[in-house]
Amino acid sequence: MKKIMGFVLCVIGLILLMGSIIAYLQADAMNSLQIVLNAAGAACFAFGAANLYDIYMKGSRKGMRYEIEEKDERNIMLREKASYLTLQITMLLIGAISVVSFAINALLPSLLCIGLLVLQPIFMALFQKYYSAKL
Amino acid sequence: MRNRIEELRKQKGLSQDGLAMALKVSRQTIGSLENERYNPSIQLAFRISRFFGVKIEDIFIYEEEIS
Repeated sequence: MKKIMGFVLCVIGLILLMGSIIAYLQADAMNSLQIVLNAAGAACFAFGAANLYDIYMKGSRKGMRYEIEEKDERNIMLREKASYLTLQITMLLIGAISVVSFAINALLPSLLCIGLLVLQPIFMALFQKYYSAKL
Repeated sequence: MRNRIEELRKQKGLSQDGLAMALKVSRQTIGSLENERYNPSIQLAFRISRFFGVKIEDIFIYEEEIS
C-alpha cells in the first residue's frame, strides 16, 4: 500500500511539474498557476520519493541496520534534543525577523511572526498536557 | 552509572557491532554505554541482562551523585 502510494505521489508530482513547464512555455512570465504547480509538484514528488526510498531501505539487507538506527533509543533521544534546540533557534530567528519587519514598516510579516511567537508556547503547553495524560 | 558491558562483551568474544546487532541497537549506542556517557532505558537494560545471562544489578552499578 505504501509502495503504491509512493509511486502515485511520484507520478502526480512529475505530472504537476510537467504542467508547470508547459504553462511556462505558453506564458512569458511566471504566473500564480505555475507557482502552485511547482510547489505542489515538488512536494508530491519529494514525499513520494522519500516513501519509496524508505521502503527500499527497509526491504534491503542494509535496511535492517537502517531500521535499527531509526528505532534506536539513543538516536530517538538525540533527535528529540536536536529538535528542541532547533525549535528554540527557529523561534529566535522568527523573533529577529519580526523586529526587522516592524522596523521597516512591513506590518503583515511582523504580525505573522509575532503570531507564531505567541502560538508556540500555547502549542507547547497543549502538547505537554496531551502527553502528560498519555504517559 | 558505571557498567560492565565492555567486560562482558569481551568475555563473549563479541565486537561492538555484533553486540549491537544482537541487542537491536546502533553500534554508537554500545560505544556510549561502554564509555558510560549514556544510561539505557529499563527495557534495554533488561535486554542486555538477558543477553549476558547476568542480573541487572551485576551489570549496572548505581552510585548516588554527591552534590
